Amino acid sequence: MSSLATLPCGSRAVVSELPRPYGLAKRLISLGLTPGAEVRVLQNRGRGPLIIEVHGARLALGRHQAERVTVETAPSHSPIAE
Amino acid sequence: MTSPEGLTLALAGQPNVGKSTVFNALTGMNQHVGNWPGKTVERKIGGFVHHGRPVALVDLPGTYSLSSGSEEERVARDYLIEGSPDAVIAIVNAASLERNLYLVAELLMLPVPVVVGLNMVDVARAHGVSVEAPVLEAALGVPVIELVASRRRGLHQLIDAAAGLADKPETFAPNRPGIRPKHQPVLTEIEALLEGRRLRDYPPDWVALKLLEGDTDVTEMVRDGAPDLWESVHEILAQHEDAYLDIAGGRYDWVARMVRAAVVHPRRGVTVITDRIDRVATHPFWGLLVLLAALGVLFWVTYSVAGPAATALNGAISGWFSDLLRGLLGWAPDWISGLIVDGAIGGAGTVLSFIPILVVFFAALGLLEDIGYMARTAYVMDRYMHWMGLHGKSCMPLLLGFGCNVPAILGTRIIEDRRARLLTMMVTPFVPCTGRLAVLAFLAPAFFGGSAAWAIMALVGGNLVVLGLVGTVVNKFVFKGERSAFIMEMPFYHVPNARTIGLYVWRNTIAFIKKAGTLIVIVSAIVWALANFPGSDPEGSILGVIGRLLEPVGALMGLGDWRLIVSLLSSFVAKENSVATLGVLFGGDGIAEAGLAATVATILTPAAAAAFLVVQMTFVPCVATVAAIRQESKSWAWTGANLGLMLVVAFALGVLVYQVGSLL
Repeated sequence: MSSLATLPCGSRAVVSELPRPYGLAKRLISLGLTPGAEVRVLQNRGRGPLIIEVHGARLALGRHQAERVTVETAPSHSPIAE
Repeated sequence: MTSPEGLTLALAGQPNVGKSTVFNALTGMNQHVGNWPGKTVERKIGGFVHHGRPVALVDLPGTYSLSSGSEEERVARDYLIEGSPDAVIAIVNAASLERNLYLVAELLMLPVPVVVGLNMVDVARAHGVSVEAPVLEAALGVPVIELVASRRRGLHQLIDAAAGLADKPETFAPNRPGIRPKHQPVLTEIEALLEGRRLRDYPPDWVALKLLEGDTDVTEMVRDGAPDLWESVHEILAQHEDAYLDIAGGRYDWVARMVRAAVVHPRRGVTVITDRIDRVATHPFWGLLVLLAALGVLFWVTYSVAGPAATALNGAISGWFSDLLRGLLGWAPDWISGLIVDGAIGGAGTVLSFIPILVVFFAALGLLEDIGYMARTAYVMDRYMHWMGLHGKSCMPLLLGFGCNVPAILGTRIIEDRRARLLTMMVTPFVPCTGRLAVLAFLAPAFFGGSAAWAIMALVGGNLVVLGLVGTVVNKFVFKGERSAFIMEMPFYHVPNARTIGLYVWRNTIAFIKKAGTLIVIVSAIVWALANFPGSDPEGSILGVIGRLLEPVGALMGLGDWRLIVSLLSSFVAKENSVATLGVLFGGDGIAEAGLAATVATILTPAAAAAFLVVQMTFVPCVATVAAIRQESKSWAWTGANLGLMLVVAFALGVLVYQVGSLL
């Protein structure tokens, strides 16, 4: 269990929990971030927003929002070498 | 229905699916832009004829879902339920099909037949995704038509399919998404409670589902419309607060089943074009350079094409057209022809001279948005914008402001969040436009001699600091620091469509001329009248008297001379007017332009000169900008707030600079 913001570039994970405020969770859901969705991190430079891929689309996500999305790293996938 | 055989079709789709390309390709110039009744959401309706049948096409706002509670989503679903269109066309992007089908999953729960337009199959193929339309159609139980809307491919078949369903709605048998088994009993329970109730036109099973999803509007509707049931419904809902996660999850499960057979990813894992471009375009350093280069090109085009065109247009209006009109008005007293020719037509000239710059800026905005680059500018700039509560998307309008504040204000439309959009509008006039910069460049050398370049840089920098401070303060105290979350789709890059961009430019330019034009003409005529009544002697005019009355206020800023005050007031019509007014008031007897700045400098102490420039840089925006703020915010209160804000800031800074400067 870790936050989406800690995942390195190229890694994959599965969303396990969304942040509490209902409104934010609903926006994330409509853009494809649901519990159980597989995400791939395309850009994460340790600061500033991230770019992720989920349900076949690319999303930019503020670091503050990414920190509040809990993920489980899928052990079967190793980070893809860029 | 508009006529017995006429059709009303709604066009739905998530953002970045090419929905507006479909709309424009079908309706061309035959479209009407207005607002949804009582809303700030734009409504576009277009018409065309299909096999001799008139079709009205209603463009719904682009939304990702119908359940996160934004005004756009409410507009879309209220129309689908209460406006009873004959069918709804859902446009999806083949390249991001999974996410796009989420909206289709929601549409299928509404009582309107659905046709799916599978757009951008070419873009998808370039990204290594191929979608089998017949397989998808079989899975969904809904007609699926392949489209390349940018080349008008498939549009005819799309309308054929929609018309077919509209004529025989009973043949519509979609495979609707279910709910995960865990929550099926509770859904049935709520449905049973609601049975037999009429809740506006809403289907009861849909109302039950929305209640379980925690939808605020539907919850309120049931609480007010069926108060006797509310207690039992509320009790059930309280035990299932997390149901919305499962309902959404259930929809994505359904989507996954739909696409499993239909989508082939032959090259999964290969870096696609979009990711390759993004390595540069979203890089913290290279991305900034790309953005600056794009702006450089934009401003170069503005100055080399739009600038001369604007000057020529304005010249034609104030030249031969005014002379012609003055000739025609030879019979009238001087004040009538003056009011019409110099006041109103002068204002009309101002409006028209905006056209070239608006066309260039809208074309640039439309192009960058259409290829998918706009989202990248927001991504690169978000870290710099967010500390003032602004959105990454606020950066492009603000940067445009250096050219002209008017398109900058109109450009804030790309910011979806109303709060962030209003905040951006409030601070945009602090970006010094070419008009303000021209006055600065004209006066600074005479005021500061050798250190003029430093003074100009300090003043421009000062404006940006003020912008940041005002943004932070307004955000903190008016919006209570409620920062809108930065969540944004990064669309796949694709080839722009000339028709889409052309219609975007045309619609927005016309809208500005129609809505803002009237206000600009009226205000210009009023200001002219103030400056020319009761006599043509400036000192005795109403404006001159107002200037004299304000002298004590001006004195606090070292500007105790009415001519300086009138010069500032006249900049309300257009920023560059300050100089022309000074020319009239100081150089009546033919001082050369070069001498004017020097003449003004002689009556000002260094502290007062600095104060004058600071006030000129932060004084109320020009009338065209005010009209644009009114048009975009749709609120006189916010427009007034901006005027008041700028007035207070200009006065406070003027006093501060003069008083502190005088001590040095």
